Amino acid sequence: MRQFSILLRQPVYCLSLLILSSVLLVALAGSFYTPYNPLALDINARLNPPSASHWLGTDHFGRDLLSRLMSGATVSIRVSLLTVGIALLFGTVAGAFSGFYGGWLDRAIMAVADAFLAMPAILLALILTVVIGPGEFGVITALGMAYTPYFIRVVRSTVLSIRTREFIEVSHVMGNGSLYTIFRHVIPNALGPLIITGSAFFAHSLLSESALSFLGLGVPPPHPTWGGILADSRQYIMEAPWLCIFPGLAIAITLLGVNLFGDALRDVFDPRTGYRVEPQNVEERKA
Amino acid sequence: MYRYALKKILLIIPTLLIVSLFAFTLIRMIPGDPAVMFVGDLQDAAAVQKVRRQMGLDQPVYIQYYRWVRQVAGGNLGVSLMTREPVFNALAERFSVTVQVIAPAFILAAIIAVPAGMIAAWRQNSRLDNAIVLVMIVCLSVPSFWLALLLILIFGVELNWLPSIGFVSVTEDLGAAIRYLVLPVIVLTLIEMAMLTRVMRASTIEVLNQDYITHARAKGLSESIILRRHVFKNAFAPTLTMLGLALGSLLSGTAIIETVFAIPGLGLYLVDAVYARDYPVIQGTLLFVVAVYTAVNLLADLLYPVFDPRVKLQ
Repeated sequence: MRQFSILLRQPVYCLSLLILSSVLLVALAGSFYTPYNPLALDINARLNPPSASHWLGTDHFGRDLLSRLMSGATVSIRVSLLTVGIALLFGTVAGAFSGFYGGWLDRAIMAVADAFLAMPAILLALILTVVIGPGEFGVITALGMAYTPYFIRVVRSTVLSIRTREFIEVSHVMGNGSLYTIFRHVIPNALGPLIITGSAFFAHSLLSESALSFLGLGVPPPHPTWGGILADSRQYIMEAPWLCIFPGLAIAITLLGVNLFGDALRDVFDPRTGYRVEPQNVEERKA
Repeated sequence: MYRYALKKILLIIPTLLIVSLFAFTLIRMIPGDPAVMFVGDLQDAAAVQKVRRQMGLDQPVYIQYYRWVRQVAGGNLGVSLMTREPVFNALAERFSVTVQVIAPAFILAAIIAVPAGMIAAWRQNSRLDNAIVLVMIVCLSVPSFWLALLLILIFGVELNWLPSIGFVSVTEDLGAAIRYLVLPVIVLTLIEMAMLTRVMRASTIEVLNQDYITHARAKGLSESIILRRHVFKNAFAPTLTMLGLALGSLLSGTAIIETVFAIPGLGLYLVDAVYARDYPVIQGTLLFVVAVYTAVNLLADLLYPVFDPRVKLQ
C-alpha cells in the first residue's frame, strides 16, 4: 500500500491515470452511445472537414469520424486487454511450473519460449493471422501467442528467485501440495513484475493491433478500428488530412497514458534500474 | 573464452530446430493440398499426382521434414506461388533493399541514444533527465505508421521537399536514394532511439551506483573522464545485447514502414505474400529473418565479454 501512496504523489502518475480513465470512459461510452451511427453512410456529407455537426469531420463514405473513433476505441481496448489476458494466463502458468519444478520440464518450456522469442513478435503475429484467419479472434490469438514467452520469462525468473526461500519450504513442510504452493505462495509474489510487464504489453498489443489493422489483417471493415481508419485515410491524405491526424492522435494519446503509467510503476517497484520489461530483458540474457 | 563461445553457439541449435519445426508445421496447417495449390488446377489429377511425388508429399511426415530441412540448409526455400521465382534469390534481393533502410536508422539511433541515455542517467532526476525521458516516452507512444503518414503529409505533400513514396537503390543514384530514404529512416530512428536510450540510461544508473565510481571521483578524476573511461565501458555491455535485439524490432518494423513508403524490401515482400497467401514465401521469410536475427544476437553475445570480461567466467 505504501507503494501506491508514493505513486499518487507523482504528478506524472496522476496525469497518466487521467489519460487512461478518459480513454476508458470514451471506449465505454462508445459501446453504448455515439453521436452518429459509426457505420451509417451519408453521400451528401463526404469528406467534410471538422465542423459543429461533425466535430472531427467525416470520411469518404460520409461516416462521422468521432463516432467511428469512439466505437474503434472499444474494439482496440477489448482486443488489447484480451491479448494481455491470454499471454498473462498462459505465461504465468507455464513460467511458474517451469521455474518451480525445474529439470526437463523447465528445459522444454524454455526451449520453446526461446524459439518463439527468436521470431520478432509482429512478424510472428502477421504470419499466425494467416493460419488462424483475420478478424478479432485471429488478432487476439496471434498476438497472445507471440507475447506469452515474455511473460513466461518474467514469471520464471521471479519464481527462481523465491523458490528456495523459507516460506516455500514451510508450505511444503505443512504438507501443502506443489500446486497449492504454486498458486497460493509462488504466483502472488510475481505480481509486481507481472503488473509492469502487463502494462508494457498492453501498449505493445494496442500498437500491434492497430498496425495489423493498418495492414488490413486485423479486424475487417466496415467495423471501425483506429488502425483501419488510418489505413483508409491514406488515399485522401491531400483532401482530408483530418482523417489521418485524429485516429493517430487517439492511438498516441492512449499509448502515452499507458507508457507513463508503466514508467511510474517501474519507478516505484524497481527504482534502482527501471529496466524496460520487454523482448529486451537484458538482465535475463546476461546470465 | 572458447568455452563461452561454444556454449552460446550450442544454445542456438534447439532454437533453430523448434523454429524449423514450427515453420514446417505452419505450412501443413494451412487448409488445402499444397500440390493442388502449386498446380493451381483442381481438374488436372495427373499433374497433381506428379507434383505430389516431386514434392515428396507421398512420403511419411518425418521423411518429408528431414528432406525439407536438408533443402533449407542448402539454401533452397522453394518457389514463390505468385512469381514462380526461387524464394531464396528474391529474399536476398529484397534484403539488400531493407538493409539500406535499416542500417542508417540503426547507426543514427545508436549515435543519439548512447550519449542521451548516459547524460540522462548522469543527471538523474534533473530537468534535463526528465526532458529526455519524456521525449523518449512520446517517441515510444507515436505509432510508426502514423508518424510516417504525418511526415509524408508535411514534407511530401505540403512543403513538397521530399518524394513521398518510392525507392531508389544507393547503387543506382546516391543523391536520389538519400532523398527517398530520409523520411523512412527518420521514422525508424525515432522509434529505435527511444528504446535504446532507456536501456542505456538504466544501465548507466546502475554503474554510477558502484563503488569504483565513488572511488574514481574520490581520486579526483574529472566527470568527463569518469563517464568516458569507467561508466561507458561498463554500461555499454547491456546496451550491446539490446542493439542486437533492436535489430529484430527493426526487421519487423520495416514491414509497416515499407508498406507505407512503398519500399520493395523484405517487409513489403512478406506483407504482399500474406495478402496473396504465398506460403513458400511466408515460410522462407520467417526462416530468413530468424536466421539473420539469431546470427546478429549471437554476434552481440560473443562481443559481450569484450566489454564486460566478467561474463565469460560464468
